[in-house]
Amino acid sequence: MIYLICALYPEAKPLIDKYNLKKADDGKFQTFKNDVITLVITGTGQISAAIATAYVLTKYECHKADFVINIGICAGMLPVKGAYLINKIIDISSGRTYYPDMLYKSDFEESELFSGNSILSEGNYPLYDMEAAAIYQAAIKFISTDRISFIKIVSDNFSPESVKTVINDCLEGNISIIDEYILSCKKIADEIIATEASDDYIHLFDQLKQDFHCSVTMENSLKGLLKYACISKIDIPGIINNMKENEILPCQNKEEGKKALEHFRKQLF
Amino acid sequence: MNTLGNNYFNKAFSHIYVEESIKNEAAATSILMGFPNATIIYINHYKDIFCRANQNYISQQASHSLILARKTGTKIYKGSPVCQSFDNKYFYYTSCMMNCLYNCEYCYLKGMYQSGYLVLFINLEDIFDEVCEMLQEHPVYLCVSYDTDIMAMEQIFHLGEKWCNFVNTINQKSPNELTIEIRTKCGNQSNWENLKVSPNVIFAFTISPEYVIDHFERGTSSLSARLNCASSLINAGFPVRLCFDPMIYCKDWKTHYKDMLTKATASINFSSLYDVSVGSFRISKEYLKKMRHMLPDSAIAFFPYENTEGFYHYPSDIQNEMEQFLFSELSGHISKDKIFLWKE
Repeated sequence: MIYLICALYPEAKPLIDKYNLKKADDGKFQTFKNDVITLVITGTGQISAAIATAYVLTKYECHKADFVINIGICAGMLPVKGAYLINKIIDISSGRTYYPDMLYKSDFEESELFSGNSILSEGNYPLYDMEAAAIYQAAIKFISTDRISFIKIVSDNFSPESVKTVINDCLEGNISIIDEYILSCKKIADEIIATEASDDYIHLFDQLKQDFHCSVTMENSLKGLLKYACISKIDIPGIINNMKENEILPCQNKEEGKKALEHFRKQLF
Repeated sequence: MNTLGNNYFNKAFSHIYVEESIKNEAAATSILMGFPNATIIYINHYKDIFCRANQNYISQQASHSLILARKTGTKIYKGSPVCQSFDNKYFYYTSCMMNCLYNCEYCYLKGMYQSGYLVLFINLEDIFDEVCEMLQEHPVYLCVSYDTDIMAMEQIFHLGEKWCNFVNTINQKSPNELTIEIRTKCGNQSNWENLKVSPNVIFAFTISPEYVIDHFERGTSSLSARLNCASSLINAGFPVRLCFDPMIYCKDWKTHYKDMLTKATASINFSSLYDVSVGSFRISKEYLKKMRHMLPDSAIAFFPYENTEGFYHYPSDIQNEMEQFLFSELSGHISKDKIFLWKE
């Protein structure tokens, strides 16, 4: 799942249209979804951004392969309508600095971003927003640093009164480069899920722990042996059948179980 | 092993993090000149990047970012009890780099560090100064390529060359002798071209079967490249150690290790070796726990090890069989007193 975090509906609208996202039945924050993307609108400011991010990642049970991408406008001295991938977030409220990993190829220019809690009508920051630092701090509780990205588009050079008229242009004008980035994240997430280890051994474990007459300690040993055997593609059913044919399994008591478990271990090596 | 397609990832060193306090130092600027296309990001302290919460070591290894930093505090450490001391009383190690360009599946660094990024400490002179102070008191045996492989990056950072020059210089004026060990899996002979030969610089090559290299030592030099390189260094006059450590259990391990020894003995005159070491894979409980979390499909991480006082190792029967097999095979090629068998 790709989680898109936007502060305002006008920032989200081009993305909702692009990905044909449908409004989710959710009373806390406006949320829009399809099978791949979940978009949440946080409202402006650090507290709202942190709460909404934590809320959506909890509610939809964020997986380690998922990505969180904050997409939105910002003020700054860099050219208006320029889109930037953020490599450094300086929280001017706390003085702390956060560094999202920059591991994946993209066509974005990169910049640092200053993040605060109030609207600025003047400033000399290259980029300035009111949510990124909070989103990073909330997201990092759920997901690793390589899965959190910030895409910021300059809407104004610290003239907040002009923002409303350009939000749509800022997003629409950069939608193809944003789409490319989101698609890359999706492919990486798919690849991670595809290479995840199978948990087939759990099914075997439930059957075998009784046959081995396992104590708690023996259960842990059996689970470890089964996990290793599954990863190593060892023919576990073949070994078990052989043990049953030789009347080593099922065991009648714990003592027999211990001997059978040692016999099973030796068959793996 | 869980690895991702490299086509999504930036090239190694596409991003370089530099501590603000060293950005104008010659050592830093000369390294940065070697990466004209890199994005430079200034940081306060390397731990701001390296010690962040919730990092993904495996992803980070697919696109190594580099951190340039200054090493502060203690720079020389006493050798770890899980490391082979080779009977050296004054056994120390230092880390002028942290992390490795290579990606060995069994590497303990995955459990030791929070980050897969490479850290290069540019103040090598400060480490040299600390070594000089120690040499006033006693001889020093110092491992300088732990927690990294400095020869893998010799073309960029020239750390091997700097250490060799230092050893040659300091041993001419110090009251006690400095001996260093440079451990490597690199077989690129051109890395050694500029190195001054010294009897006090031991190059220690990790020697593994081709099967282990192909499956578990991603990015490292082939067996034949390592052996050829070791042979050249012996001929040049360097003391050379072969480390059959860690031995990795795999199906048909005996055949793989026997084939490896056949190749090694054909390439190298074992009587010319400084010594050899033998040891099977072992790792601390804490590190293995982290490795299992990040490598959920790794047969090495999920091997059913035995735990002895906080260290996981192969079950005693397997451990003894593997180590004794290799010890016995090696005994036919090199004097037993030159074989260091790992003992807990």
